[in-house]
Amino acid sequence: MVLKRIKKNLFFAVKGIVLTTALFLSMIIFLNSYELFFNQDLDYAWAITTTQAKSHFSASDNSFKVEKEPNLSGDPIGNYGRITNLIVPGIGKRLEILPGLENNKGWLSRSNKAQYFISRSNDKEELKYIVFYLNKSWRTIDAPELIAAGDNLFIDTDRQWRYSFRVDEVGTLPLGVSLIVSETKNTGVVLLIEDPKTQKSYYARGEFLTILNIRQ
Amino acid sequence: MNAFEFLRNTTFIFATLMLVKYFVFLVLAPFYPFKEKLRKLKWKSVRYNPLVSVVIPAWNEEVGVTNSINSLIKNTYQNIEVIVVDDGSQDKTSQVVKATINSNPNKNISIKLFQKENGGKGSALSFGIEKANGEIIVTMDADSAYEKHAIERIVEYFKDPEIDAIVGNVKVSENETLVGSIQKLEYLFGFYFKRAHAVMGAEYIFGGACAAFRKSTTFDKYGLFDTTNKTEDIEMSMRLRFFGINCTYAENVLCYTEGASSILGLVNQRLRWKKGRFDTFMKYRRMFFSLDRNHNKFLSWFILPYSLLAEIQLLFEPLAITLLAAYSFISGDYLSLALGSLFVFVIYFVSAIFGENFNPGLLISYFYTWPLFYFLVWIEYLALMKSLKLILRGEDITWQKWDRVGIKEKI
Repeated sequence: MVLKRIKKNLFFAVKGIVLTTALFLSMIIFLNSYELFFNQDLDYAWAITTTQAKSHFSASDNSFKVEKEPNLSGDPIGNYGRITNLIVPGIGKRLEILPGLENNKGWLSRSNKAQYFISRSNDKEELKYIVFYLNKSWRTIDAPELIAAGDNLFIDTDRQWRYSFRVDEVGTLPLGVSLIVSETKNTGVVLLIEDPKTQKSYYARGEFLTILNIRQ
Repeated sequence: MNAFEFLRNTTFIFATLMLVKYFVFLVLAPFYPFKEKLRKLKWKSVRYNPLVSVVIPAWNEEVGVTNSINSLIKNTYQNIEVIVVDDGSQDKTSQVVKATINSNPNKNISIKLFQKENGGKGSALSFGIEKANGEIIVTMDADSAYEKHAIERIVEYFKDPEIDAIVGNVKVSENETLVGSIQKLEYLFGFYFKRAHAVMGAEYIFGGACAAFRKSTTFDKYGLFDTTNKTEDIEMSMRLRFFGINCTYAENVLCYTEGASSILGLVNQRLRWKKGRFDTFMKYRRMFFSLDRNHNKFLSWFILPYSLLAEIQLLFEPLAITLLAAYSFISGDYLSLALGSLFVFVIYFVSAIFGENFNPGLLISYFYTWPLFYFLVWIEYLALMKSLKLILRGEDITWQKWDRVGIKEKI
């Protein structure tokens, strides 16, 4: 009788634990999916977080645009399709790229991807630079301090072309401190990796080198 | 095409095919009540009061058999004979049945006990049918209990002379185990989809727990149960469909049954079902994509090929779901997983809204029960693997020994 009661209680306990875990998993999946689907940053999910990346750009640099397929015709680097991946060969990282997202608190970052905004000069509408921003994590880049001047940065497109950039400047910035990217002379990229724990951002500025077809 | 693209495309094709199946089922299922209402209206004025023989094969069923018989005694339909066949039980099944017969307060219902040497369920059922006098034969498991209007409702269906067999709505009895909870849901959805089968006239499994047959057009014509097949009910169902008999799903005929109470028990049950189904499919392979006018075209061209496809899909399904879940949690990209769970939600939703009764509790339970189906997929996978192993070795399964606890519903 006692054994039967223990067995019954054990069944209840196991059932309770499993169903609670299942509910917990459901909540994780649904809250994070909600964030991804509606591009919002919720308190109890981590698929999308608000970053302070925008704070590193001065007002004059704030003419950012989201261009899903940047029309770079006429620009020095031309138009070779939608940019899909950012590669940092020096640290062996390859990240999927998506257009940037913004809300009234700042730029939104997906937990496993890099986002981009494009800045063009106001007068000629020429491409000035592409800002890639992401959160430092094991899902993206966990050791941004290893990116060094002289490293390559590649951007692949869906038409099998690869833009190559050479990193000419790296550094760290406390949140809110501006990076004077408008001083960039040539077309380039700025990679911003925010570390929310230390409240600082790592940056790497790269200059355009060449474009290669990678189909062969 | 590289390996990844091949994998992605194959997954996409399988997923699309399965979605088509469930889409068809979900769209058709809500039409079932209208179809059955029309049938009822058509035959409403007909008076029909046939003798119904309920055959209960019992092998070591001392725990549940009394409950089964009592559920029949309490039934609203009284022109019943109950035939219990003790198939060589080693426990006190016969004594328990005799005691129930002696204490039966309802003398309108005749209860007979026959004892025979152990020969398997098919043999016990056939033995019982040979002894039966009823126009309608109902098969019932000794671990099941009928709801009190069940037999009356069965008879209602047989007013229609075109109906030769029906399968009732089996529900898993209340069970505090997790395995019980999973089965309860699985049966709920499985039997809900039988509505779609019924709309297409393509039902092909008359489960032993709750099925009824018009004796003259089924057993008298096409023979009794196959004594060698371990899923004699599936074999009989396919045989009858092979010869073109008409059948339907009877949702309002409720039967409670005891599900497996442990994971091992569930695996063994599924192994028996799968092996039996494969054997039966092999035997009646001509029904697949058949142009024979005896064969229901929905059954031949849709339901049967899809049930085979589901088994093929099951070879990859657990691994695919595991990889998808791992990818989602590692990458933080939960949308694919959410899409999969949304699909499951649609099944919960439709069952809750269009099912027998409006069931908001089912919708709420979705949030903490849908991940349990992942475990069920693995159980099905294990059963499939064991079944394939047996087929390759040319072996058969042995009878399953249940650890009975009895059903808990008050009938």
